[in-house]
Amino acid sequence: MKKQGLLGGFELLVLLALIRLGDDAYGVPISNEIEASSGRGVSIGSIYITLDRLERKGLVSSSLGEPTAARGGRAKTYFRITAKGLREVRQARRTLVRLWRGVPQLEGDQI
Amino acid sequence: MKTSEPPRLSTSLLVRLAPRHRRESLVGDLLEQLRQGRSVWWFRRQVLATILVGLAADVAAHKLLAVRALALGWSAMLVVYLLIGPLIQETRMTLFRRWGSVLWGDSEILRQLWVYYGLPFQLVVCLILMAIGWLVAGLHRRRVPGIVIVFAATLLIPATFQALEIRRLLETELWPGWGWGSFRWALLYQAMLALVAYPLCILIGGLCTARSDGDALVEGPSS
Repeated sequence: MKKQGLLGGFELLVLLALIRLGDDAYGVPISNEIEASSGRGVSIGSIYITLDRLERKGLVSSSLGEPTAARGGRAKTYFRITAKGLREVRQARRTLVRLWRGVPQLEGDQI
Repeated sequence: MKTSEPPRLSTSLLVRLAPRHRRESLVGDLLEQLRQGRSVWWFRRQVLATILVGLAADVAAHKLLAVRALALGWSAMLVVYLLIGPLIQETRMTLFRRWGSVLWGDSEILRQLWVYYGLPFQLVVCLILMAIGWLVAGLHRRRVPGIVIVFAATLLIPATFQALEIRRLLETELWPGWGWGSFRWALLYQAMLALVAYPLCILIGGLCTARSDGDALVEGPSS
């Protein structure tokens, strides 16, 4: 079986946005959530590419919603984090916290 | 709230070139944001980024298909070059010798277009390249935009060498007394054909197969 690598930075951002949004996670709110947190614009195309990759890894699942007039009759694709995805996020958090701890250059920084 | 209409060209490109399985959601998301007050320029930037990122990811995920498409496309070009190239050249020379004066009469412009620029034959070459683009696209229907763009881009590799050689020729003093006469323009014309026209012909031939479901999405809302 192919060994799964560590989560990338943008993958982690997308997964955290999914967790925060819960059942209402589709392209637009995910993009808004990441923009609001990072203060930088993101391409919606990159978000979908990342979500596809995460889905292939089994960290995310997707389902098609109903089409709406506000979207020109196009359906939304909703995304949810899977149990495996949640485990990966926890693991990434533990790794980052461990690495963060005791680094003098980062002490005193406000999160 | 702004009620911006989506730019037709951008929307049309998006529905043809965005990742196929997420196309509907992507178009919907961008339209939703446009109607929520994003600018038309924001929409255009998003479309461009989405297409580029999608194509790069698609090709990266199907490297073998891309290699196969390149091998097929370049083999087709080689076959055409070996089989049809001499025929074209022979026809050109025959027409030049026998019918030259009839074809361009007293017109110096027509004579130059024929002798230096080989215009009718370049049109044939362009049609052949379109057919090769169409062939490559037809054999890779599920990956059309990415594969065709990569194939067209590979034409830029020899074209760049050709353009550099042409620049070197133009910088030499090999043509005393020619000045910026027709021969130099003909060299620049050759460079432009190789750098712009030929890759464009491949793109046009290949991407004309990438319509179908895209057209349906461009037509507008289904609700």
